[in-house]
Amino acid sequence: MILVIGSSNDRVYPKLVRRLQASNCTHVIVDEDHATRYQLSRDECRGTATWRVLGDGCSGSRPVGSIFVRHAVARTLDPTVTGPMGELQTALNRMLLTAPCPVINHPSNAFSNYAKAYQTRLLAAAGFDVPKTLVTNIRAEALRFYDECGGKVIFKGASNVMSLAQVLKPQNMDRLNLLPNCPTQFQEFVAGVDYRVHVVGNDAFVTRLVSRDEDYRRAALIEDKAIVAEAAELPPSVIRRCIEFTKQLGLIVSGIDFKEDAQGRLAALELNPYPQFTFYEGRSGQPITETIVDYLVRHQAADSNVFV
Amino acid sequence: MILVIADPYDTLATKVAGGLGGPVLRGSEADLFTAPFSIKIDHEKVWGTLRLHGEMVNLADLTAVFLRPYRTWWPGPEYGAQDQMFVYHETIASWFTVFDSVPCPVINRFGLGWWLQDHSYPERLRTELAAILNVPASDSGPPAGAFGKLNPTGPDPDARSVYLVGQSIISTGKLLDTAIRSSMTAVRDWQKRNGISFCRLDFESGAFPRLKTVEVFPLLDHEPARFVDRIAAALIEEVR
Repeated sequence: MILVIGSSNDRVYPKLVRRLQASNCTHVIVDEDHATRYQLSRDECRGTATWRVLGDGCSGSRPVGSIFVRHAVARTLDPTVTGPMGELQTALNRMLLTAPCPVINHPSNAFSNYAKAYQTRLLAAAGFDVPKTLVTNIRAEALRFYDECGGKVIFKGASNVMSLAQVLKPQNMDRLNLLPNCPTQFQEFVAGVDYRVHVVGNDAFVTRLVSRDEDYRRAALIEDKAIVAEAAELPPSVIRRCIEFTKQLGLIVSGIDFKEDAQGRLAALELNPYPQFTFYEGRSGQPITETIVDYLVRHQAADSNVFV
Repeated sequence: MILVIADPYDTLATKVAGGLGGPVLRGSEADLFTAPFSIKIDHEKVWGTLRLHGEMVNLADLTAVFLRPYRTWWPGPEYGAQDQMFVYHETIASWFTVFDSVPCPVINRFGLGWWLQDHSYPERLRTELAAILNVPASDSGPPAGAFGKLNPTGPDPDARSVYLVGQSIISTGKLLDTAIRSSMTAVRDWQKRNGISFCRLDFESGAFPRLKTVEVFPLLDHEPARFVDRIAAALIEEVR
């Protein structure tokens, strides 16, 4: 039995569910957008916790062999929505903490991209080439960094709250006066081709993206411009490092972003523990969802303390 | 230079700052989160600066950080609700990176789970430590409906509490001290792995101790002054 925890408003979860249905895989869904439909109970016997999910098709009686989780994001500040969703997610996270089966991905292992500069350090320590990075709320420091990087700098959010990278141009230097209001991340701009590497266990899919925008997501998500995404290759040593780094963080699936410049420098930008892989496979045709479903099926644990 | 970030009324922080005998720069979390700073990363090299109360400090010159932020700071009403949330996360992510990066001892170098108020963070610590100490974790755990902030707590009146400061074990009883001391190598590894040099362990009272709570931000308001002095002395030792 595979348990899928997610949001029916998400783009990834419905596609994964459709794939599970098409594969005739036995699965159960917890849709966090309908949080009040579910209850979790926890029993304990000799120090071992047993969890039962009840409600909306979950009877709390069938053992779970593997779990896919991609928590819903509350798109409102309405406490009647955020309260039940938060409580359900808190209870589910407690359950996942002691679940002995594979979890794609454990939320408690998925924090590193909350602080992007911190993750840059982790990427560097894992042997990736990373762009020089500055986080500051001091205008003079940003200007010094700009000069140091020869005027080729992008800026973006320091946390994982959605923000798009922009090139720092002489005409928008006035905006640096706003820095004391909020720290910002500046990074050496590596101009070139974008790559996304999706890791699924020991497998990896490399996708090359071509866009005129410094952040291809702006072109695709906001300006609705076509971008080219196609299957590609990167050196085996880079792929091995991606797989090892994903495992090192305690993750099974990841999406790692790279930029390659004209001189062949391949800089790692960030690792996303909950990648929106459907965006890439929808354009490149790479079977990422299928590989994730296959992983969930093949790695099911025999013993479980989670029942649905 | 030792950096102490704590509420002005935090008695423990005052005792630690007073006992260190060197230059101490102290501020509240509101001081910290609005302070000018920079942190630069060039592959594995990290450096930066911080200006607090007008004093500029090179992060490399910090010899220790004693960190006790209640995490009650929130951007001011001059921002709209959405901007407040954005500024809050940008600020927390930035300062987490700073404290993770400084090479000196940081007590405590809290994990992202703590900064993000993740309720499975204390539970994970409790599960790990219970396994190390070879004691069961308590049945109860956090309340099933727990949601919202992870507030610091004082000692549980229904529990036997033990404070861990580095290798120092501070408690009123001896039974648990022996059990912890016999696992000290693994406990030290756990401390290093999680960045938690200072915590309080609450064990259920009874013939067979069960680990009820691991509190990484122990409040000491209800502990006797001499007890607080012992903890402060151990913290000073750990920082040195």
